[in-house]
Amino acid sequence: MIRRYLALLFFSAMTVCGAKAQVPSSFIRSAPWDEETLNAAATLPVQEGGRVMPLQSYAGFSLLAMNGKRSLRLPNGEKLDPTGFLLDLVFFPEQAEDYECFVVSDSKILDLIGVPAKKRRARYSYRALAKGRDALYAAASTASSRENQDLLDKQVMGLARNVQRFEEIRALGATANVQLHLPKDVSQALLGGDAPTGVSFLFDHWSELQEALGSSDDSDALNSFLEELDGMGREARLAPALFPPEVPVSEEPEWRNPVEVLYLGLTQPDAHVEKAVGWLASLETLARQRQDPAAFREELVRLRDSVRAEAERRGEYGTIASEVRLFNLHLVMRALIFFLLGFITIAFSWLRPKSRWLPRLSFLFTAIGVALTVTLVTWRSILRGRPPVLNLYDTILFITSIATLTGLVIELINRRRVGLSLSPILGVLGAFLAFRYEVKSAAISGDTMGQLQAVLDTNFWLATHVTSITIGYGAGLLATGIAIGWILMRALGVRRRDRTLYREITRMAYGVLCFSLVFSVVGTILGGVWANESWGRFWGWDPKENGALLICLSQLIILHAWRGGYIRQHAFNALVALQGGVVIFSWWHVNELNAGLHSYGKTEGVLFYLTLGYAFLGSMALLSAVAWLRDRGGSASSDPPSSLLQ
Amino acid sequence: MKSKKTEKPLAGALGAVGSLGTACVLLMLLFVLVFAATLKYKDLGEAGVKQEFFIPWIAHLGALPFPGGRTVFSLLALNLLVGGLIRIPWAWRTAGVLIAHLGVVVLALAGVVNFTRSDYGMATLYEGETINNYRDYTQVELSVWDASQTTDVTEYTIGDADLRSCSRQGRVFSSPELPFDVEVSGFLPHAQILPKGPMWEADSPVVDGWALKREDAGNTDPKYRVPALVVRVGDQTALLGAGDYMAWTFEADGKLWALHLHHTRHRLPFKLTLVDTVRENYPGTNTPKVYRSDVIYGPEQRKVTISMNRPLRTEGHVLYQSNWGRDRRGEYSGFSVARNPSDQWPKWSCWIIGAGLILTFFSRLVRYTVIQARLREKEA
Repeated sequence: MIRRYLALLFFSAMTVCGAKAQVPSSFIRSAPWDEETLNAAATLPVQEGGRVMPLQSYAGFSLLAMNGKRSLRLPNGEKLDPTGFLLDLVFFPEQAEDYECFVVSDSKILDLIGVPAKKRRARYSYRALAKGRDALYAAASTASSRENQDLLDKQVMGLARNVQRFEEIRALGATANVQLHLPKDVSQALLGGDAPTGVSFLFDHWSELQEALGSSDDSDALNSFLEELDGMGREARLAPALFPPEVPVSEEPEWRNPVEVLYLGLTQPDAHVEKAVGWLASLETLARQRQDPAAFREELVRLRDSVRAEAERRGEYGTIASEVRLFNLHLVMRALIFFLLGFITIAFSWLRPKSRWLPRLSFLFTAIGVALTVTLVTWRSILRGRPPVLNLYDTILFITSIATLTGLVIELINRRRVGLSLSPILGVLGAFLAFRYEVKSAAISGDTMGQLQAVLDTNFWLATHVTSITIGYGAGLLATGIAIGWILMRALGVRRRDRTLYREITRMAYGVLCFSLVFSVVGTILGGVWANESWGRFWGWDPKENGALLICLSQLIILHAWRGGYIRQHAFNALVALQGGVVIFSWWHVNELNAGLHSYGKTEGVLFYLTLGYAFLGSMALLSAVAWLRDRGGSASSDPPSSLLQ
Repeated sequence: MKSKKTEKPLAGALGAVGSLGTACVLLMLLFVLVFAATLKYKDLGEAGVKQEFFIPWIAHLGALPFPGGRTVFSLLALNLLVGGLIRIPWAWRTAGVLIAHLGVVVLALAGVVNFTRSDYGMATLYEGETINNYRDYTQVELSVWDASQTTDVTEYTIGDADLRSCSRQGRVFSSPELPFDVEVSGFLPHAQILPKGPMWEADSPVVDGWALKREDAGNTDPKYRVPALVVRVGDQTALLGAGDYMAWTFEADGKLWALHLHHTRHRLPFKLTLVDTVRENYPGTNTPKVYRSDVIYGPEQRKVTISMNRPLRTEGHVLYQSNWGRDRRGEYSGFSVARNPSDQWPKWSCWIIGAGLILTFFSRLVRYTVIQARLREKEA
C-alpha cells in the first residue's frame, strides 16, 4: 500500500508544477566563491531551450532577464557573477531570497499583486515578492489570455517569468537540500537514531524503507514525511535538465533533472540511471559541504568531470568550454571601450587637423574594436555550427561589424578621415544597441543562441540570403552615416570652401550606397528564391519581404535620380539620410507590425526609439534643405553631378 | 534638318518613356504602393493587399486614387525595355547595368509565366496512402457520375471557367452520354450555405429552407474561399458549396446519380505513396526541429525524403512539406504542390542581376581606388 502511495506521490511530483517552494536551509555563505569553484560550476552542462549549454550561460541569461545585467552587487559590496549567483541560489537559497535581483519597472505591478512598492522603478528580492507570488501568477495568466495586451500586461508576464526563472534555478538544489524526517520508529530501525536524512538514503534503503513505513504506527509522522517528500518533488520538478541520460543521443535526446533521476531510480529498475544517482548523491554532498570551500570545490570538480565525461560520450560537450570562454571575454564591452577610444582620438584630431599620430591611433583603436566584433560574430557562428546571422541580436553584431569594417576600408582607400570618424561612432552605437537588446532577448527567449524554427533550418539559405541582406543593411546605414556627416559639416560650415572634400564625401556615400544595393537586391531575390523552396511561392507581399524591397527601391530611386542629374549633392545626401530610415524600418519596424510569415514578435519599447530615429533622419534631411537654401548663392555643392561619376 | 524634325516626336516619346526621370517617378509610385501594402498587411493579409494594391490598374490610398500595381509594373517594364536595354549605350562601361537590367527582365518574365501558366494546390496523405492527383487551391469543378457504379467510375466535369461564367446568368450543360441536362446558376466566389432566417438577405433561391449567403471574397485568401452555386437537374434544385463533404444525389433515368462541387483535381504524372512522416522537436521543448516525409514515387518506386527546404522536384512538379498532423486515422503530411514552368527563373535572374551589379560596382571601385592613390601620390 505504502509503496503505491510513494510511487503516486512521485508521479504527482512529476506532473504538478507551480507549487510553492519549500527550502529548509538557513545557511548563510561565509566566504566568497573561489575561482576554481566558479569555473567548475560554469562548465557544468545543462540542457535548456533545446540545446546543451554551460551552466554559466543558463545563469547569465537568467540573471540578465531578472536584473538587467549579468552581475549582482550585494549590500556588503560583493559582486556576484552569474555562476556565483546560481551557486548561492542552489546552495544558500535563504540568503539568495533576500538578493534584490528583480527589476520592477512599474510599481503598478506591485499594487496589482499586493506587495508594497519602494518607488516607481526599483529592485526587489524574491522574499519581498513572495507574498504576492500567487497573485502575480494569476495576473500573468489573465494577461497572457488577453488578445490585445498593453504594456502593463507584458510587464506582469515578464515579472512572472522572472520569478519562475528564479524558482527554476533554486529547484536545482531541492533534492540536495531537503531534510527528510522519518517517523521515529522507522528512523530508529533504519538509521539507529532520529536524525533527518537526505534523498540518497532512499536509494540505499528503498526496500527496507517501504517495509518499515508500511508497519509504522506513527501516522502523523508518516504523513509529515510524505508531505516533505511531496513538497521536495513539486519544487524540484521545475529544475532544468542537468544530467545526460546514460544512453546514446539517438536513443534518448532529452536530459533529466535531479527529481526525474530520483523518480526513475526508485521506480524503474531498468532506467539506466546508475551514474545519475551518483550525481544526485554528489549534489547532496555539495549541500552538506557548502561551508567548507575546499571540500565543496573538490566535490564540484568531481561532479563536473563525471557529467562532462558522459556528455562527451554522447557528443554534447564539444562547445561548452568554448562558450564559457566567449562569455568571460566580454567582447562587446571591450569593443565598446575601443570604439570609444577610437572616437575620442579622432575627435581630438578634428581639433588638431595636422596631427599625424592621432588619426593613426584612432585607426588602431577602431581596428581593435572591429576585430573584437568580428571575432565575436565568428565565434558565435562556430559555436552554433551555423552562418553568422540567425536572430535579431546577431544582426546587430553583424551590421556593426560590416559598417565599421567598411568605414575603415574607405579610410584606407582615401585617407579623408571620414570613414575613420564614422567607424567608431557606428561601433559605439552598435555595441550599445547590442547591450540593450541582449537584455530584451534574455527576457523574451532566455538565450541569444537559441534553436532555429524548422523552416529556418538550412545553412545554405542562412549563409546566402540572410547574410547578403544583412550586409545590405550595414552598408545602407554606413551610407546614411556618411550623408549625415556631409549634412552636418555643410550646415556647420566646416571647411566650407573645400569643394573637393564635399565632393569626396558625397562620392563615398554614393559608393557605399552602390555596395549596399548589390547586397540588398541579391539578398532580396534570394529571399524570394528561399521562400519558393520552402513555401512554394516566390513573393507574398509579407512585411519583411516588402521591407527588403523598399530598401532596394529607395536606393534605386536615389541612384537613378543622381545618374539622371535630377538631384545634386544637398538632395542626394538628404535622400541617403532618409534611406537610413527605410533600412531601420525594414530591419526593426516590420517586426513591430506583428504580421506575416517573418514576424519575430514585437520588442517592447522599440517603437519609441524608432520614432526618435525617424525624427532625427528627417531633421537631417531638413537641415540639408536649409543648407541648400543658404548655399544657393554659389558654393561648393553646385558641381554637376556627372563629376561624381568619374 | 528636315529628316531630324520628322524623327523628333518618336525619339522624344521614346526618350520620355525610357528616361531616368520616368524610372524615378515609377519607382517612387511603387515605393508608395509597397509601403501602403506593408502597413495594411495585418488587416488585409496577402490576398487582400494583392487585391487592393497590386492587381488593379487603379488603387486607392484612403480616398485618393493612385496608380495600381498593374499600371506601375506595366510602365516600369516599358521603361526598362526602352531606357534600360534599347536606348542605353551598349558599351563596356555600361555592361554591368545592361546585365542587371537583363536579369530584371528575366525576373519579370518569371512573374508573367507564373501568373498565366502555373497552378498550385495541396495533397494530404496519411501514412501508407497513395495518390496520383492534387487539389487546386482556388479553382473548382463540378463532377457528375453514376453513383450506382462501384468500379471504373466515369466522371463528367464542368470546369472552373465555365462555372464562374454562371455568376450572373445561368447556363445549361449537357452531354450526349448523360440522360439529363445540368443547369448551373448563381455562382458565388465565396459563400456559406445557411438556413434562411429573417435577418439576412439570401443571395440565391431558397431551397428547402436553405440559401447562399455571399461572403467577402476580396479580403479572404483565395485558398480559403468557398465557392458555391445553385444547380438544377430536371425539377430538382440543390445548393452546392466547395466545402461540402458529401455529394448531392438524385435519380434520373432510373439510376442514382451524384453531383459534387470541389476544388479542381490536377493529375500528377506519377503515383506518390507516403511511407512515413515525422515531427521531431528540440529535446525538452515543444519547438519543432524538423518535419519530414519519406515517400515513394514513380514507376521505379524511387524513395526520397521531403522536408522543409528540401522539396521534391520531378516531372515539372514540385512538392513541399507544408503541413503535418495526427488524428484518429494516424499521422499525415500535407504537401503543397506547384506546377510552375518558371520555377527556377528567379534564381537565374538573381545570379544575372548580381553579376551585373557586382561588375558595375567593382569596376567603379577599382577606378575610384586608382584615382585616390594617384591623388595621394600628388599630395605627397
